[in-house]
Amino acid sequence: MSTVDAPTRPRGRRAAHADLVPVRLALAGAIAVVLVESLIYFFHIRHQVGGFGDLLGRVSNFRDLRATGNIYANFAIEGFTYPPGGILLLSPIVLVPVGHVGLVWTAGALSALLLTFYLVGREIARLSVSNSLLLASALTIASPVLWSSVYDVLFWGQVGSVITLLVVADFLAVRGTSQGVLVGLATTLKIYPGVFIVIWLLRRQFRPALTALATVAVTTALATLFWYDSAISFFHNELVGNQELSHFSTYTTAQSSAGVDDIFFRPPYFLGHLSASAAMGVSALVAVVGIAAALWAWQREFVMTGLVLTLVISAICSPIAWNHYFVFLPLMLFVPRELGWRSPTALACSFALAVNVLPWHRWQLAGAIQILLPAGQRHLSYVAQNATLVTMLIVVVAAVVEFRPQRFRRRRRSTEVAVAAAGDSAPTASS
Amino acid sequence: MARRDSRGIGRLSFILISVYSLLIVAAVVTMRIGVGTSPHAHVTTTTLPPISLGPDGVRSSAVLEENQKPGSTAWRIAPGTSPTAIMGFSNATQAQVGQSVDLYVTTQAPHFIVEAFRMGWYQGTGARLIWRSGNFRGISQPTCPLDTSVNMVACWNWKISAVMPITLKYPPGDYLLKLVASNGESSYVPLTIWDPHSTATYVVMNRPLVEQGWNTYGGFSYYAGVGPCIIDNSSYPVCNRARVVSFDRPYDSGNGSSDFLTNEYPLVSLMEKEGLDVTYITDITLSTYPDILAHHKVLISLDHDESWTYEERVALQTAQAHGLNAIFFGAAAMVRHVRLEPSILGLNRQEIDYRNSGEDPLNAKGPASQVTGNTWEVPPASWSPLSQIGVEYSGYLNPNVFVPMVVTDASSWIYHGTGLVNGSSLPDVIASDFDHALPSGEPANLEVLAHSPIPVSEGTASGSTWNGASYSDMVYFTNPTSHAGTLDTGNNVWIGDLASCSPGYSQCSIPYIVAITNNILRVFGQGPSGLIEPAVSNLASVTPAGS
Repeated sequence: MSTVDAPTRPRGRRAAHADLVPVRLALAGAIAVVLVESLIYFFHIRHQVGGFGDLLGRVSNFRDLRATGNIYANFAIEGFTYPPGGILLLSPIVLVPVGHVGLVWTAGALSALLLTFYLVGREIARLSVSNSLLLASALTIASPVLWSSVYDVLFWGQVGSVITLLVVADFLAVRGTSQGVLVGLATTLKIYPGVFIVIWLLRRQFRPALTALATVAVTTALATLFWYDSAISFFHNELVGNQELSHFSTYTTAQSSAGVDDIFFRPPYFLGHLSASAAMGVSALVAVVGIAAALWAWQREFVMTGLVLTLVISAICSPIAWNHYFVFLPLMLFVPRELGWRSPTALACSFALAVNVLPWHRWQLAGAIQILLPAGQRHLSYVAQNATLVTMLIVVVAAVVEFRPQRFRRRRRSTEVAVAAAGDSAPTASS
Repeated sequence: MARRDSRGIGRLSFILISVYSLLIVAAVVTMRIGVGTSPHAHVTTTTLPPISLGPDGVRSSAVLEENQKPGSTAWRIAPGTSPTAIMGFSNATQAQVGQSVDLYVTTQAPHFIVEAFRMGWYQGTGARLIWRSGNFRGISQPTCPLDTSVNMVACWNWKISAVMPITLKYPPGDYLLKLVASNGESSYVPLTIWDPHSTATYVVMNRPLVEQGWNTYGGFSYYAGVGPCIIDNSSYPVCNRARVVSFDRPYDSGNGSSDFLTNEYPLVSLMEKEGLDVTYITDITLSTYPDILAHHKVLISLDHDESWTYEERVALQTAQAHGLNAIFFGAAAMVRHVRLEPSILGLNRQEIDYRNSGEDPLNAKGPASQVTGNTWEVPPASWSPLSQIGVEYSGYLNPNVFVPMVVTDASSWIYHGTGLVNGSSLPDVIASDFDHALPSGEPANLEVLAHSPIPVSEGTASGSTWNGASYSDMVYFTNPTSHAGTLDTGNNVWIGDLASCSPGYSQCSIPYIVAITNNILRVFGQGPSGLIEPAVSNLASVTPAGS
């Protein structure tokens, strides 16, 4: 057979079309996954006790806004705890009929989850478009089943998966002058992603940091312009008056490092907040150590690890960190891919993923009255309920051990130091 | 490929952000058009007339004008209504203008409406309709979960059924929100609308802390429970009682109004009829904003006001030291020691009273002043109410037993114009709990105004007895420094006595009770009553000696 007669690969438009077939199939599959999964969770959750509770609270908040002009007026119930910019970003909720808002929200949350996994698959795992879409679809199906933090985002109608998408996209997909906008939007919605701005500043990457800050400023200014009474009320009552902190800080299952004080030192049903400063101190200490670990990971160009560590710190150093704050947990799957399986941080992430398959925050001692248990047992039960916080702290400690700079290492491990130092200057897979 | 992919993601981001921005614009436009209105409540706002004091300093043109407005008897619920066909609760015991109140309602009827009635006089109709909603969808809410660790029933799993914005259309006052189901059934949700800037002479304090403590919705109150003991095995207080009660549930009595109509409303109606310069708060308001008493001359505690927080007591003590007069129209005031905690639905939504310091997790760990023993008097709180109310709780009469009130100091200003003399007996005035002055003579200038024998055979007495009787004492004392006056009727049904005489009684005491009440309000409304009517101890003349 001559070469002339040999079958040739399609060229030009036909070739491009052929290349796109698996992509289109994967895309259609991903869309189908989100749609079907949205319907399943919507019909499942809407009949559950407390289902879409936070989302319906937001709907109620916007009713208050329309009725009184002040979204924070009714802080006695499911108060609107987002900053004023959050009014702007969440405002499209008023366009959706109440009966459908749960479905729309679930679809949005799952889409955000899928896009996040897709971006990580493309940029970290270096998969093709179609394979990334397949991986993202699989993880979007598996994550809410495996990890209660992901399920809780859907259950309560929370914003966690959107915030995760915004920060992941800003670091993995956005380039140039636009970088910072998405983190700015996330920080406008919830204050805790602001840790990413701190990371940029510490890395002397001033442009994205300033872009993010400008985004926060513009959205907040716009919200203040539209809803002046609400904004003033927020700055007076919510920030200064600390409604959110005073409301929630006595919960012993708030997986925040500030809650360490509640878990170990404060008896239940306690009136007052006598050791709030101690709690803040613990939070600040964890924040400093955690941000240092994240910074060291970023400096070594471990992008995924840096992202995960920063997300961990932003969650556990919040005044409160409900289970759904940890919706980013599945991203830890990609840390071993970046660091290798023997890395302490990768092992800690794997441990966290394994432990948190069980919804520890809902754990109760069967047949026991928790608040009346002897002190040791009671505290142990609180620790178990805060397993997410504990495993996150282990991740932080592992990262500190792994990424701490040479000057903090003991002299007798000089060989390892030399290897690490060589690794510092060597190009990495993700650089 | 990577660059093309990056361009694709960038394009997708741009499209998503653009679409979302358009949605935001649409939402903002929608809301800007809709500000001041609610999707459910089309209300108009009016301004209140300014408060001006009457010639005697205790009347208010605002209250007078308010009660001249057309009233309505539609607030009443006819006997025979099913108590469970429609039930609800609000997310707030009190609200102020500018806030909105969320209602959680359960009913099998397809729709219901809400009618907000301000309770008062209104030419004898009893209330004015302030607002009537459109139709809300009826929801059959799920069973309320029980926290078995403290036997607390809380309906946090209910969905919001209705939202009620509180506009200037709502004058401060005691409100009954009447839930009217499309099948004709109805019930109440009580709500106090208060004005944090009020400087009214009188402040009437509603008692949700007490009402909730006795509320057995879901099977549990501080006095009743179902199922096994959860902590101890004592028979009283019943061991399966609630240790924590939640405001996130309907009241199971009084068609949802608990005891408002019997223990509070008759005085509210009387004061509004007289046009007195009155405003309204709840005990939770006082606990949360203890400084508000500084704006008023008289605190009015209503019938059976037994549950007080530490913050309330400190607030009253401080205000009494600065000249605030206090009237305790009921008995057993300040007996029970409670504290407040938030619930999922909001601040101050859970009321804690273990009634046993040994059970209270705070015991030996938190401040002793917050540990809830059986009463305020017992350790570790050990703070007797005596110095604040002048008497101590001494027992109770059996149900449906009424005994006469016996006048002992007819020369007192409280009997002015009544024609009563020492020894006069007002039949069927005293029932339920009663208070008794201590023979030790504390507070120093305690004046016993009525000393009424309570046959031990007709009830339970917790202190000493004399010839088979304990005594219900109405007392008055004044603070020698601030001149603040305090009066305690020693009778748990004084306000109920203002309403109606029980059928079959030969003589009705209402005119006397009303006259005495007006005298108390008139003198106390002038400012520290010790400056006008200083109390003079007369314990030595009380018979039998030492009683």
